Amino acid sequence: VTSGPSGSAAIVGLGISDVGRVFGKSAPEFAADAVVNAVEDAGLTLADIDGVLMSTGYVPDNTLVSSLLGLRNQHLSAKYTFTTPGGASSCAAVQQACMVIDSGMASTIVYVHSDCPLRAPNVSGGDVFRNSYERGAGQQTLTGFAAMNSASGLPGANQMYALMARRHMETYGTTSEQLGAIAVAQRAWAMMNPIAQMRTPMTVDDHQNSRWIAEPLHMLDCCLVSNGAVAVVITTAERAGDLRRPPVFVWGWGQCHPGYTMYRGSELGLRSGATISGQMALKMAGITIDDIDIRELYDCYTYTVLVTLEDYGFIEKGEGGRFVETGALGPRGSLPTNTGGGHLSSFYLWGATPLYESVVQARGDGGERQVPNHDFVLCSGNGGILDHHSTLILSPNPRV
Amino acid sequence: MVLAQVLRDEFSAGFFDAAAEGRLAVRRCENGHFLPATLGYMGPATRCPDCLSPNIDWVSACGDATLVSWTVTHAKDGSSNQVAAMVELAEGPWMTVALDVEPDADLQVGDPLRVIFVCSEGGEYVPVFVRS
Repeated sequence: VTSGPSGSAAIVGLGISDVGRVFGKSAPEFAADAVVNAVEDAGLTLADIDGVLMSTGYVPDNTLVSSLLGLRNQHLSAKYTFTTPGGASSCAAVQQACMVIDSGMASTIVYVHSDCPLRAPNVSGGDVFRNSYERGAGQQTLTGFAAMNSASGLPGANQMYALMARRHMETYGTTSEQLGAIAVAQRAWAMMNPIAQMRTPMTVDDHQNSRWIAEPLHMLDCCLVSNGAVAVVITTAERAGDLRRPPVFVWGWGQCHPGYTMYRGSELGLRSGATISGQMALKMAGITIDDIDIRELYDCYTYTVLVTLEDYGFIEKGEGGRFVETGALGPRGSLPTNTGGGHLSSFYLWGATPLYESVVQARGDGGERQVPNHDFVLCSGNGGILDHHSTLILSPNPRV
Repeated sequence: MVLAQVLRDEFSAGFFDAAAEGRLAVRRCENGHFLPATLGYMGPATRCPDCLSPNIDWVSACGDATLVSWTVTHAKDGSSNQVAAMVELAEGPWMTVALDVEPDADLQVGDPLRVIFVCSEGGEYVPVFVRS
């Protein structure tokens, strides 16, 4: 018997489309593929779905997916946007689904994230994402301060996260080689993930020799750019036990939107919303950080993994760099993290990348890369320039 | 130093008018609070976060700043790079700006900077910071 929303809903279906540098479909078409696969995985039919939640990465809309699939008489239909809460959308959508289900408003909800930023094989990620934040916030023609930022060398996320990483490095002594250790650990996981885009071995030297994007970030500090979609089906804990696959119960969740002031004394770059979001999620789940077996952390950049690990309390603030150098995040390490390869080496579907791998690991479906202990998986989302953070705590065990 | 064209919009007009006269404009509300000009990529700051006043003007900053963080950006073909930074104005607000220093300059957090103005290509004068 559960008390309150913790554990009252579960993820019962997981679906993915073709992902990576795959072409020939639109964002809603990729979304439809993932939804069909997730519903089938659950042993349900589309007629069982009575709510739909959507998000996209760079492509502004995928709401056509409901019509493509002929979904009728839905009790819930909503879409999260590029900027709010951006990469924090996937955890936030699962949270919303749990609350809607707990309220009785809908009983079986599908959440799908899809994206199609690569329109053709010769389009680079840099081309796609230049000035994308401003465009995502509705500024189609860059004028004024947005134009000044772009002209000054700060056209997008790469350069802004470089400023964040530099702050961490200068404050705590974090080094580029330490960031490289994160990329190397995640590549080692990706080599065991059949759907990862990058599966060749990587060393810290490879990281150091990869070209600069925006110092202190090398190319191998940065996420991939991918087309594709991931979907999950969420329903009541009661119903979950009767379905085809083992349920993944949602034990806890949290969000934090720090609202950094761009003013003297700001912690921007040094501490993220993970601190408050994580504390909320752990309290709701009734567990401590030491109970977490597996971390699937939003990793738009290596730096984001580092600051998130510190802010959740896995490592002391400022000690992250020295800690990750020990190889703790990789296979056989003490803190298995981003076990599918993450955004850096598997595929970049924003918050849906860590969500997908969280469900795989919680179910014990990781195959060669499965982490033996998987009672609690912590999944995170991060949006904007550290503007939004969200957390889920997932478990294959029901909350009793 | 060459900067790509920057065109004004309604919100930034007062800022670029000042820049053309060699003055760095900063936002200050009627109660004397300084605030950053924009809310990052989300657009202009039109209400003071300290006192919620919507009455905000451009006033002249002293032009001094300190370095908060910086990046050296690289073009894919390696042909060009640019030093960009987050700086803290003496009045308190942070700004993202170009630095006119060598890409291999030995920079440190807290380095003192001062503003100069560079005419963007076919556009407005833009503040750029140099070592003071």
